[in-house]
Amino acid sequence: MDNSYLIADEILFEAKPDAVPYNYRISYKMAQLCLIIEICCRGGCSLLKLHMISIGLSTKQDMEILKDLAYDKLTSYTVVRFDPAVNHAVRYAIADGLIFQQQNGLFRLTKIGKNYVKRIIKDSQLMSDEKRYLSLLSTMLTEEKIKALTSLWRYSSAED
Amino acid sequence: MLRIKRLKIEIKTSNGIYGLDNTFTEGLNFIASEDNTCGKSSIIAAIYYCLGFEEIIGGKGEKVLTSVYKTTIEEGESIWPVLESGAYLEISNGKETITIYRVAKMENRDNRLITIYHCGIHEIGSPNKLSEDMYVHMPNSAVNKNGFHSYLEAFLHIELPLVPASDDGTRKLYLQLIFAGMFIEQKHGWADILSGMPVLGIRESKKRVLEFIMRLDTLENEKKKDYLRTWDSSIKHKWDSLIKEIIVLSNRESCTTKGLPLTPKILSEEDFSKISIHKENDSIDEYIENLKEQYNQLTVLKPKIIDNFDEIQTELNATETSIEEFERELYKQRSSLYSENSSIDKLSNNLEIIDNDIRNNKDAARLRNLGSELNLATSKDTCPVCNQVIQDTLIPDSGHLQVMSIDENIRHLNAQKEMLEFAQSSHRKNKEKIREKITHLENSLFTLRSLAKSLRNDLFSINDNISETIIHKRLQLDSEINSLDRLSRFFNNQKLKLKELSDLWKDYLEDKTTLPKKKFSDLDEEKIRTLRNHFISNLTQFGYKSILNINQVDISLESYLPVIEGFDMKFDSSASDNIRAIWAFVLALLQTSNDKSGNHPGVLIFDEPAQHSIVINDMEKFFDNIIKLKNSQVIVGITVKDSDTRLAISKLPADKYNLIRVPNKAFRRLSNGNETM
Repeated sequence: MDNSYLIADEILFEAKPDAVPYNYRISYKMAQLCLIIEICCRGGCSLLKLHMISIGLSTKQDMEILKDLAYDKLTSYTVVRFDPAVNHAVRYAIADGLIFQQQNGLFRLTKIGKNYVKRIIKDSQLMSDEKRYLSLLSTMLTEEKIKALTSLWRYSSAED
Repeated sequence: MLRIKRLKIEIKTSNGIYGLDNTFTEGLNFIASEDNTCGKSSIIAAIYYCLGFEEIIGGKGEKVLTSVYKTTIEEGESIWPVLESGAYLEISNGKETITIYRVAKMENRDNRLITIYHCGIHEIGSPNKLSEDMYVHMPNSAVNKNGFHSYLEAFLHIELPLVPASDDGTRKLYLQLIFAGMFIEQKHGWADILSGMPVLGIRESKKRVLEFIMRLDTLENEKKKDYLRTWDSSIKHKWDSLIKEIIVLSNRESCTTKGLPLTPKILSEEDFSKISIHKENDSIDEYIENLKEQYNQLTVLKPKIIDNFDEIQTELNATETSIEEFERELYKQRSSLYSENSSIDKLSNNLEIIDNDIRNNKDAARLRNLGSELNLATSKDTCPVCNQVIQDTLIPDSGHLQVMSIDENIRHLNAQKEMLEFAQSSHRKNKEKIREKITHLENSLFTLRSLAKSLRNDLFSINDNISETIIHKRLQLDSEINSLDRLSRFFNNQKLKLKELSDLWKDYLEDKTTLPKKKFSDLDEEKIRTLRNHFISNLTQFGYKSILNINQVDISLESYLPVIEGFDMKFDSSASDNIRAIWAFVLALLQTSNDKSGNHPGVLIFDEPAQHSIVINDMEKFFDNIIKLKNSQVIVGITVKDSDTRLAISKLPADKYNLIRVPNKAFRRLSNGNETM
């Protein structure tokens, strides 16, 4: 079987580089997380919140739903998606010294991180949609709301 | 011709007026100084500036001038701020003398304003001397009556040609360009032959300038060629729009055209008669005839129902079948319209996503730059923990994959966007086509249905009634004949226009063939030969050594610049030989123009010709050569640092040159502040 390829020597396949969606670029995701911590949090941000807002930024529809939840217009917000890319980006950001984890597990910006965010905010062309949405959302999505939501999961998933 | 006669610079400071006042003579003029930085170039720059040629130095307005005109002036230890400054330049065209005044710094006076006094400097202010204000470096100042350069053009008795510009129009050859071939500026003037020429949107400006200075006939030819080129494109354009109009209108009446030439050609009688419109295999005129015949038959027909009941019956059947056919077709077209619409929607959706993607990717690229400014390791594709190379992606387990860089990704997305846009536009076109078909079908269906209705009414009505069908048909035919008639008339009109265009095209082709095949007239060749001889003899005298056989040097017939075996001479020259070549070429141009009555205004300025450690002997030869020039004025700015140069100048016969010594500082105090003029 192994020698049955007639022109195996003559044809070479070369792997072409793959496109990467912007959401999976290290630089983009790190900047997004830093912006979330800066704009939407007071005194630290939980990983769960980072996940929720990061996913919330991905499409217009997600943006609306998340905002409704934050402004208490929704009673049921069941599906929270977890994206491993966020975890990756958090790890990179910590290693790069942009954010650090407090004793209580919440994330905050370091000095470098604050400087980075300041520059991003200054440049009005950069990530304008994200900035607009995040400042709309502001700190309305509190850790308490997230806790209340997760405590609901326990009951609902217990039935399954 | 142009002669610079006198230059007076005035710089007003709080410590009085500083400045200088020098006269220039015919022949060789030296502006010499012991030291290098004392203002020779400021003096020469003032000449450029007054003539509005400061773009040769590089830039517009007072910014090309040195700081003595603008900020401060030094005198010994003290430094005085400049309050106002300006320069007077007296020039002559051989007969008349005028003085040009232009300010470098003055409140309330634009430095683009130039005042012309119709007298010498010493007469300014006397009551019966006229003065005029003009502008330079404003739009149209080269053509407008009040533009200084169009005035200067008239004053110098030269007529600047219209030449092709880089934006496909024609423009007047600018004076600045011409004088860039005569005024060799200190810095980039010595880089290459004619290297000081500013970029002013003239196609092949060096070539045009040389043609003008030598007054070659090719300029005429080029102009004609250019004119023909525009003629050509205008005919093509008109032809194209005419044809398109005909096709669109005949398609609307569901007719086809035959024998229409899509590109311009000379239409013979036969070609012309073959152009026609057809409908259902008949030419339109025949078809109209047929319709008219049918119409007439209908009028002959007895409009009573009783007489043709059977006919009505069969006709109703036929009409109903074709209505069904049309309906089926319409249904088909509608469903394909729907599918086109949905694919357009889908594509627009995708395009929106891609636009968003591109924007975010661009953001990512900029964030990456921002990150590397902050020295983030991830922005350099290394892991911040272990310093190994990582891929710029967050997709887990992507180690074995090769990943596009952000820039590649943006290009990739842009390519996708283009593709989608292409697809979208083709779908849109399809949609248009289907729409047209649908409206056509709907119209025909409407006609058929109303016909069927009339037929049915006829069937059920009383025998003696007048047949509605026939009247209906008549109306129908009438309107069709009318619209076809209109089309036919329009078509005949357009055909005549086409004929006219075809005649124009013929004229154009004829003109094109009369263009001389040979680019140069005999006189032109003679002129170029003279230029070459002068150039070579100058080169030999100045000690050009970079090639062994100096006779290999030739003047290119393409660019009129010197070449060796088809290559630019500069490639083969040492730095100092390049300077010699510039001397030789600039002088040779003047010599050729003098010999063959060209357009050279007969004035040359060399600022620091002793570049790149030129041997003093060659320098002497250069001066000798200048002295031998007839009918010309040459101004040389030179530093007399070493005794050699001084010796070289003193060797020249004393009555053959005019030496303007510039002392330690060129600008001396002329008067104190209290007695301003």
